[in-house]
Amino acid sequence: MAPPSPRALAAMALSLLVAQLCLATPRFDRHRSPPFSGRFSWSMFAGPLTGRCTHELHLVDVGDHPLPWPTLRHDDPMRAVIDARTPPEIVRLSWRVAPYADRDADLALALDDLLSRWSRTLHAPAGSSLTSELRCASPHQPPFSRARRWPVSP
Amino acid sequence: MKLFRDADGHAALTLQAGLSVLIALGLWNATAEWSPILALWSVGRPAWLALAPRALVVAMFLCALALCAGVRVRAFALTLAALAAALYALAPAVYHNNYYLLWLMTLALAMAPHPDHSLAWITAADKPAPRPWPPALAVFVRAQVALVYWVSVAVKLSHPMWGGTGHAIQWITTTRAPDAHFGLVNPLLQPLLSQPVLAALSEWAIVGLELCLPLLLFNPRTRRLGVALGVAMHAVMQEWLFPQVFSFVMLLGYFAFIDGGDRAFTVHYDPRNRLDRALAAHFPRVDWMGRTRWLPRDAPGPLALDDRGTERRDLSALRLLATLSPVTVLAYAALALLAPGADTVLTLPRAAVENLIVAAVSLAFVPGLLDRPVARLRATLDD
Repeated sequence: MAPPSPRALAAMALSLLVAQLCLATPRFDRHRSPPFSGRFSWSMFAGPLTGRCTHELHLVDVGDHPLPWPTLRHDDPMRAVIDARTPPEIVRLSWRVAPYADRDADLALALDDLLSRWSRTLHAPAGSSLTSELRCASPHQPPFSRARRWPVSP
Repeated sequence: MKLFRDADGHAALTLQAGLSVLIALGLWNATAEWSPILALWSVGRPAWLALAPRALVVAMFLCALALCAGVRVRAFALTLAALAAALYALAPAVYHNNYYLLWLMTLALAMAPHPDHSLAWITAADKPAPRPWPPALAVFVRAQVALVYWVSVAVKLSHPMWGGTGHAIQWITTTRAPDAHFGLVNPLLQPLLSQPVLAALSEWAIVGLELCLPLLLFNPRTRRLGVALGVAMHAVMQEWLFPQVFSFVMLLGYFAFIDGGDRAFTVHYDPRNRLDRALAAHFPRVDWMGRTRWLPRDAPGPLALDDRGTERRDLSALRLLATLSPVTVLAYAALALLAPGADTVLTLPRAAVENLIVAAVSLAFVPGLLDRPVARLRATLDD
């Protein structure tokens, strides 16, 4: 194959630059928090989500009384989810489910997906359900909260 | 300055082989980061689907090994890039800016028309000169390196947490670094960088450096200064914040700026000295850029390297030689990336161990500190 001409090389290099800028620019919002979450920006300081969220996760019976969690292996990934309650713990968890999320609602969506899948693997007395309550008061965002309930089969 | 100055084939093969190794190391390192992510992704999914992301990762790693071996580089690079895109589509939580950069380099390997490197050429002591080839890969990498620096400047200048205020630096040293790693550098820097004035000054220094680095690298007259400043910046950042893959892709990318017009260095070695003989025999294996010529001395004398009319001897010569080989960057990358799941090494935090090793090696780069001990050591190796 004949090597490309200098013009072709220039066009290829320029295309690479333009494509990256086109991907990054729409996400460039100086008022967005967290400030480093540009997925295609090159600031190396893309730090953890600076959200301030708390999460309460419970397995409850038909009367909304808490039930004990099923026995989990020591390396079960859901342990981290069950134990994540405080803002720093939620921040650490967010890296595993919604890295570079722009809004608290994005984190909620990711949690909903994960917990709905997990609820289908759980077994508890008839009428039991998995409940999740997420409350966020993150900087530069309006307060956010959501509560979800997924039935758990016997 | 010419952006598309013809590089000789050395640059093409160096970048191809170096990037291949970094891709493999980066993927290896990613396995530790991705493991908890993929474990959560697999929760509640059928067993066969739960295996899909892991199967993609294994396939990607096999492609990376093929790249390292120089087997049909463009085809395997394209396959690897497609597999990575499929993994991202399946499990978007695996995304990280570092791997995006690595993916772009993989695309560049796939697109740039270059002959394949080979393990035989990479490891040969007597490398035949590759034929000249238009510098497509070098052009991509130069443009990418410049883009990374300049977009970083744009981000830093436009966001309110940066913008020259120093707040980001203060947040990094007081919150992010202590939470992320147990390295030794942040405790040393924190008392200084938590001060608003020093934090702001350091932020402006980084912005200024990132703005100027591409210009220094593109210009042959200032390239050596650019490389020195860039290496210092990335080494400090790596040992402070451990950006990992990013550090080494950028450092390897500096080799893209070297072109066929850059001169070779003549090294006069003493064949009666065991260290010199070993260097003369084996350094050409790692001199992928083909920038050294080794000439035996007729009479006993020091290891000497001619640097623009200045003679560098012994350790000073070794310092310059270390900067001429991309294997130096790859060795640093291996130190940082080869044990991704290890939190401790010999009961010490892994980050701290890396800091100590890099600090020890850096002592050799302090002019005058170890020159005489090394010269005396070398003298003991005379036959």
